[in-house]
Amino acid sequence: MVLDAASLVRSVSTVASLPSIYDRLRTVISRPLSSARDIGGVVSEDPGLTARLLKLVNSAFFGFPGRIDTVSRAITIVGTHQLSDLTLATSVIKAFDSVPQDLVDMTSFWCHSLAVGVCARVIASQRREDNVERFFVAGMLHDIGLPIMYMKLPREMRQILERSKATGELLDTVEKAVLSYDHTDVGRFLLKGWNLPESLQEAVHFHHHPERAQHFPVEAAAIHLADLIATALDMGSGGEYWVPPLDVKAWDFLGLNINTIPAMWDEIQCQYEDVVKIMLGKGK
Amino acid sequence: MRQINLENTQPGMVLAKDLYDRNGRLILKEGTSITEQHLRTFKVWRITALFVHMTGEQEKVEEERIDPDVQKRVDFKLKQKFRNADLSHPFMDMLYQNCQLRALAAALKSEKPHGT
Repeated sequence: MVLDAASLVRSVSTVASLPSIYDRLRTVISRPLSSARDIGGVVSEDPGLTARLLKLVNSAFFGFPGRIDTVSRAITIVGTHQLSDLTLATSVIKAFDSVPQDLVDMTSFWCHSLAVGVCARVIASQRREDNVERFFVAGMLHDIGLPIMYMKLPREMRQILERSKATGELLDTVEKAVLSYDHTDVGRFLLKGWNLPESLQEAVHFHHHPERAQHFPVEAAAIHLADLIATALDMGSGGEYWVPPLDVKAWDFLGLNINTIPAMWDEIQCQYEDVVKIMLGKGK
Repeated sequence: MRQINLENTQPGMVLAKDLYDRNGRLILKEGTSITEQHLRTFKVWRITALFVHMTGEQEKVEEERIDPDVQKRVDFKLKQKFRNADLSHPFMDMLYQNCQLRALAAALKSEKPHGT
């Protein structure tokens, strides 16, 4: 019997549980009297995480002049919510360490995820959004349903991948035809189970149909566009072979200046290379 | 009009689209004939690609640089990849051209060691 999306997520809850550091961090941040040092204290409990966060804030991602070498300094410069979003991005890769790799190369999967994160972040900064890291995390998580499906439904997923490759149909279309749900449904249930904010849930759930997002249409539209760019530019792959069609309404809604697009490619490439090195590099 | 990398841009080529930096600042208006001085400035502003009109002669030089077989292979692969996408939208057209540019650059790079 093939499980529905919700049961599928429940059946892996132990495998893909979010590292507790993110929860602890959010608790500290939500206390009004917490200082940058308190928050830094939580992050510093995990030396691997600390190292990666510091590398990230010192990379082309932020382009700050001068070195930032303590977490509390990073927090004052980057912001607390931004830092907790970056923590989430950094720790989620670890949660999927044990996914079997016969159907998907997890390095390539994360490369694609990071690329979508970077593209979404660049789009958000073009729009002068407050917290561009929120877009980065949303992009990073957009296909998070896929590894769950590769883990729990290897036979079905093999068929789905083969059919998509052979017929030219998009991956989510085939998933829906075979399973009656797709990786965006699974992703949403997972994020819900993790108690992540609604904005992330909607962005992930509707990245193939941004017009369905009711509360966070900007997030969904940005991830939609970002996914399209990352797929076209061959920056890693989660399993999709084909560039999805552009949702023209989402494009119009984002209101990007078409003239700045060519300059965006360079910025994306630059940030992508840095982020891949930091997040997937040997500094484990 | 075609998009080319900065290193292949020659003085005398004419800018086919307004050139902006990554912050959306206008650097040079379309129709400007590119000079040595411009090229140096582009480098400083970290411009890596731009749209130019080419004369027949320049077009020929550019085309000869690329092996038609390589061009055909790249186009075939990309057409497949974009089979579900509508390229008439200006954004998709730009994305496609960027992919083409990257794929050709990668192909040229990988073939150089065998080249004559």
